[in-house]
Amino acid sequence: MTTEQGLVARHAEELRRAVEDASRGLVQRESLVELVVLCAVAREHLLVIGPPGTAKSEAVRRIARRLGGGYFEYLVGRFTEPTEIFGPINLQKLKQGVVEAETRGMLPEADIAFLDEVFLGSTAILNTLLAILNERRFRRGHTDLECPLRVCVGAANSLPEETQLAAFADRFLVRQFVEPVGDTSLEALLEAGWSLGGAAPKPAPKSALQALDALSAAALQVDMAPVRGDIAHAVRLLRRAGIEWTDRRIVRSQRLVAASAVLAGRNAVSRADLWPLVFALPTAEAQASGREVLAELLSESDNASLLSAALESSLGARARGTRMLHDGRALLAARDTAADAGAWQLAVENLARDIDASFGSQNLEPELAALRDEVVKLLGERPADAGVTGPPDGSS
Amino acid sequence: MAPPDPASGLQGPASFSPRESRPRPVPLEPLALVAHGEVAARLVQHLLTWPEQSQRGERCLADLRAARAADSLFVIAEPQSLPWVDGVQYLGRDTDAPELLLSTHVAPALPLSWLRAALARMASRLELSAAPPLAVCLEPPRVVSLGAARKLCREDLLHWQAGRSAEAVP
Repeated sequence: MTTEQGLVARHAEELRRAVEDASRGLVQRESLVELVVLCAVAREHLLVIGPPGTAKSEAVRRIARRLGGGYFEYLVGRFTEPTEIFGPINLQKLKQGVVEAETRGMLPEADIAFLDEVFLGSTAILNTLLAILNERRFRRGHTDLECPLRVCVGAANSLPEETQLAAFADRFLVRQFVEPVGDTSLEALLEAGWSLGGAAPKPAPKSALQALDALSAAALQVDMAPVRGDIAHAVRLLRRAGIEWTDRRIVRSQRLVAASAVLAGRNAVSRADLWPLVFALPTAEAQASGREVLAELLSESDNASLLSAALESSLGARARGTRMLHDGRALLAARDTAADAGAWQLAVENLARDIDASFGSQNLEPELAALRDEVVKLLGERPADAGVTGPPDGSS
Repeated sequence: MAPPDPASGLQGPASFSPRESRPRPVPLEPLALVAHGEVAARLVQHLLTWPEQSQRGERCLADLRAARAADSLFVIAEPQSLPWVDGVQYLGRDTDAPELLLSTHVAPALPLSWLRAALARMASRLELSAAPPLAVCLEPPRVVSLGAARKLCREDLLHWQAGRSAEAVP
């Protein structure tokens, strides 16, 4: 491993830990946390579409806190003034005929920003925001400021239909569509909400944001040639299936692919990094169809730092295996500390079912085979599996 | 209550062998399972520890539907309700052949349209029920209609277990 590769791997590990810390206590929002990091490394922006009360802001707040740097969050309304987001005009300087904004603590000086109901912003707000998103520059009167913004996360209940707003929305390359937590995870949601309460991840070590910047720089140096043909093939497959996306999105999606590679600790791209293409598709329907159309191409998808997003995007066996290894090891390690032994046993049984349903019991990768062996041994200790000769306990 | 009738199964002739298979790039969601022989016996033993009805949302027999064919036991359920014992094979629904339940992790090498057509012809020729879903097992090769699968209860499991014990007596 070269020194450069070693550095990329070390920074990726730093961000993997940040993602893990920020995701702790969140239910079914892990991939949202991961996509914030992916976008930040790719220097792209994320749009989250979903109903209110689905922990969108909480997920973003957690990873922002864990990464460190300046964080700006605002709930935009129809009557929001530009000064509420970009900073008030300096009245002292205005008396001298200079129009300058006081940007301290406001979006132009933020490293990570979250704008809820972003499409409700006025034309003045959206135009100013457009320049910040595209050029990372804030211009107002005599103020001309380079913005440190790594990623802006916009949120809304639905995608806008008006042409002008749709053009603005196109600047958010990555889209995630969230739903309320499903029936099967309600217990986990209640438990996490009760036991963690408002617990936030520990404050960021300085190295997290530095690692993010280092990976951003490394991503720009990645040679995309090894996957260029694959990306073009993906676009053709999507077009053939009637899924259209703008040339801008197609070109910029390469940044996501490169970011995926460095976040996996590599400075060379491979087919394992193609999974973010699905998140660059503009609508929920396009993403759902895209997953199916690209299933074969994305089957090698994998990312140890962004387990959930890689899995959600590709649904592929490899990403699934990596996720199972991670979750399975954590589950087995919690055997002695599990508050409810019955629930723990059930989770182990579910893990066994998921491994066998995804891969069968033969021809597993060595690490997964070892995990399965351990799970089988544990479940073999179940009273029911001790033998098949005795009569069943209890009456009908 | 008598156990599900094994005759409701559409069991393919020996010449039907879709054994050639390839790993699926995207595994199917498990919606059913099949257990053969000793694995089925262990599955029955395990299911006998489950409650008949759910009290507080835990898994229970009433969440499962089952059918049997020869020494195989087929169970249909929501993914989170499916049990596990070592050796069961999980089946799921491929969008290209929604009436079939196929292995979740390997796909038949032959096109699904051919498989569907072959199964339909076979069912017609043998005048057997092909009520969907049709469970297609690769190993051992077996096709069984689960259209008549019904809610599983403790009595069925005990009946199955007793039947197996009787068969084992020389």
